[in-house]
Amino acid sequence: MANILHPRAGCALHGALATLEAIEGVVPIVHANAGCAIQHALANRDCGGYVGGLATPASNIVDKQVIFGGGSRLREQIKNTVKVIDGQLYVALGSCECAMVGDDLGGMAREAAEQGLPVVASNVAGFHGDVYCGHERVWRDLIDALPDVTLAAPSHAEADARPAVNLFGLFPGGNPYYKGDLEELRRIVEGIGARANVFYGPGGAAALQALPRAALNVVFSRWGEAAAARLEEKYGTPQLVFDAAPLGLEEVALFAQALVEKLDLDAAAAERFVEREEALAEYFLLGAADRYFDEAVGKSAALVGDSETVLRIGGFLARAFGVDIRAAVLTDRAADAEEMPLPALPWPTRATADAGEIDAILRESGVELIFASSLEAPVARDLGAVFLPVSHPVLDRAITIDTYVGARGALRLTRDFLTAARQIARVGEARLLAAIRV
Amino acid sequence: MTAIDRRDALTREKRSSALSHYHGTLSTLVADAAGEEIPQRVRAFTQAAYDDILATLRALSGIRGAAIVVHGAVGCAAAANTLAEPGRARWYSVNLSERDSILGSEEPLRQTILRAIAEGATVVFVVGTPVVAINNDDVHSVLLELANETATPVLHVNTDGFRSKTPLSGFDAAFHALLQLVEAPAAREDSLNIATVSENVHNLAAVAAALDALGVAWNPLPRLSTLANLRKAGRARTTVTLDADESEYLALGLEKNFAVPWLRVPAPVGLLATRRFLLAIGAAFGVEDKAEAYATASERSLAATLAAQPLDGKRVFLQVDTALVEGFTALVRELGGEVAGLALTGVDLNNRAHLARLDALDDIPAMVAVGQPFEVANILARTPIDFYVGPEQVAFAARFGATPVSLRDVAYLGYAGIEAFAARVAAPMPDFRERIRPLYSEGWLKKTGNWYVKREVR
Repeated sequence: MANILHPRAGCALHGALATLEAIEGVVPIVHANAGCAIQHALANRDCGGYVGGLATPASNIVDKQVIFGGGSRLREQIKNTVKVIDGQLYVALGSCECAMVGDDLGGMAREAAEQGLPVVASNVAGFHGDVYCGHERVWRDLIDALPDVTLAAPSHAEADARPAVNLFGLFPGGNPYYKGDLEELRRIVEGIGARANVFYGPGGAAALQALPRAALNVVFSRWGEAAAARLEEKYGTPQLVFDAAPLGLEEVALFAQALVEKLDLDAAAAERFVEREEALAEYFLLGAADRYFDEAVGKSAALVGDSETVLRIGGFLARAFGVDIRAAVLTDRAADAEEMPLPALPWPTRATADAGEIDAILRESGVELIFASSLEAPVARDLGAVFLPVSHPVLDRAITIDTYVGARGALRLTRDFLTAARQIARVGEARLLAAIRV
Repeated sequence: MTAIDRRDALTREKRSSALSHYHGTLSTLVADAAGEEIPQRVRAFTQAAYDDILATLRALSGIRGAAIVVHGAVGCAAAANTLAEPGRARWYSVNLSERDSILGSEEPLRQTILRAIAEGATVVFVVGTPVVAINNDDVHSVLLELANETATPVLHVNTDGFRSKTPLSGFDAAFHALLQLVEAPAAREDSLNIATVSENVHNLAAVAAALDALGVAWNPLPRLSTLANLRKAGRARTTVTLDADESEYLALGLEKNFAVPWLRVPAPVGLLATRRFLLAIGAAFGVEDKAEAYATASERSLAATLAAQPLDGKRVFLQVDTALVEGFTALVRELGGEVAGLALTGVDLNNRAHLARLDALDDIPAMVAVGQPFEVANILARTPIDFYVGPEQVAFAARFGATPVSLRDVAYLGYAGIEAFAARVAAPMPDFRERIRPLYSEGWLKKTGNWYVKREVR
């Protein structure tokens, strides 16, 4: 793998950690040297998990365990984590050291499980890959292990006749707005008559329990495909795969239609939901068209982020506002570009996570708008481009229920775009005024 | 053999018998640390902690023009999002794959160093990680070869994440490399080396204001420095540290190898220590009168703040570096409060004297740990505490009724630090008790706090 200037998210272990921390009731146990879990906390502050940061249980192995093996230290750590931190499921995560030394992570987890403790293991050495790789691996291991594990304080499913839908592909570490995005998807899924089984957030462990009972797995990015395939293989659950989550009314309507067909839902009810969404959007956008034609026509933009984010946001900007996308940088595909072709995007596209290469691409693009991560804010400032943080990492903005998905995400992005266009207009006016000599 | 003549820095455990795990009272800790060697302990349950790699990365991040080459998997440089400072050292990850971990990583390392140099690095630091340490990759051969190809200094920082139980060893490893860059002094300059690593900018501004008032020219190391600053560090008249726990190796190295005396004066936290700090620098630079006048005027301007006694009758838990604990204890007292519990980063043969001077606090709970909020939570659950003062991620303390005070973005050094700290503890903070999720089991919170701390079996 090529070297990287300023890594933006971390390694496979960090991807697994980000994933698990976001699931309420799940407690990760990092089996690594001290520092591995903190690296994640310092890299991915926008993930905002339940058991994370300094509170993450971690074996902090030292030279003795590297030389003689860290199995017994892990055994001790698992046993004591269960006593100190309340949780419904504990996941022991391996690391580079654990893999190189050959510690029997799975054996230790099995040993604990045999004693009735809800413990599973996932080998996610940092050198296996980036956060996306870690996310894929930990889901694979969860899906494989869960049938044999009884969660502590198991949640009892409420009686609900609606078909359940597992949502895969949007996750912390990959998408800084995952909380708001998943809530919006839940709202849409429920609006058209199904029930969303969302793992990240409140009731996460219960959602894990309900995983095999879902009627459908919906995948919104390449990084959810492996989990959905595994579930289809194990439980026969069908899947519906999108390249990106829906953004904008057209896509919400297509998404609704696909779900109706796949789950045999009430088409009329789904249509009524979409109509209500349209009416609401029209209301919020009153006057926006004038604003668009006054100030926002013919804008150019570059996007930097994982493929799902770039495709979703770039697609909406191009469709809804005719934005000229001059550069699309995919930060999640550099590692697997050789194995898997890049998604066919209608814009100049590059796959890299290297801050130096991205800087050069943006400088060459000469765009007015940069939709990217906080790491691109300085180059945007240098270029005088308006910067909007849409991809990981977002370092200078506190994120709560913000979303760039669905109907509400489209309204938000519209607001951001029109505000940015106004900003560009003001800067341009000021420059022209300064040049006029009276 | 002097410190920098060795190939690598010794760990704190080997150099000064550093203790990283302890839970008891202050008096038992002082007694334990009193011998020629400090008995080692371990924890049977631990939470995430900083390691020597992160300490090294923190120490090197503030150097303008430097390149940090993290010789490991991509995650070993993930902290760049927080620790990399805009316009200062650039972070490169060698981005080792599983294949590299098997076949060796010398060529990817070489390519990364060459890239950093091509992109304008004035000095390159190669930071070691567990993968290359376990694999025993031959870093030195790569560096030797490159020495013939480039004039840019390329230095190895021998960290591995597991050799030491304390991150403080990472500061030593970084300073061991930095000391190689210092030039033998042809003549002395009338400047002061300020060793600074983790101090936030508010603290640096507070120190800068005081030194400006004294008219003393200062050379910050390594934070805010350049290769030129590092080169000339050997010419300074003296060195002071703002946190001796972090920077002692640098100050010692400059003293032993370049005859720059280390002005061993406590960090300027609280009235008394700040006055001592300034008067000591004043004496070293022949500006005692200026220092005395500045200290007196500053103390006078703080009269209203001190009279307000914002910590009046309040019990405070401190989680700070051991080198700062005396100053913070005094500061808490100056503001009307009392220290009712301590969590210290590490105790060793060099800093244990700080503890012995806190004799009035004998029976308060005291722990030695990097992080480990579960043990702090245990103390807070069993001991009435009004304020919890810690370096970061402090919100959990609110769950136990203590008002959290984060030192991350507040000054505590110098006179400005007294003002800022007093303002922070006096600031209205709503009761967050119900807004913090319970994390720890009732069983743990009822256990004795030292339950998981054991004597190390050798």
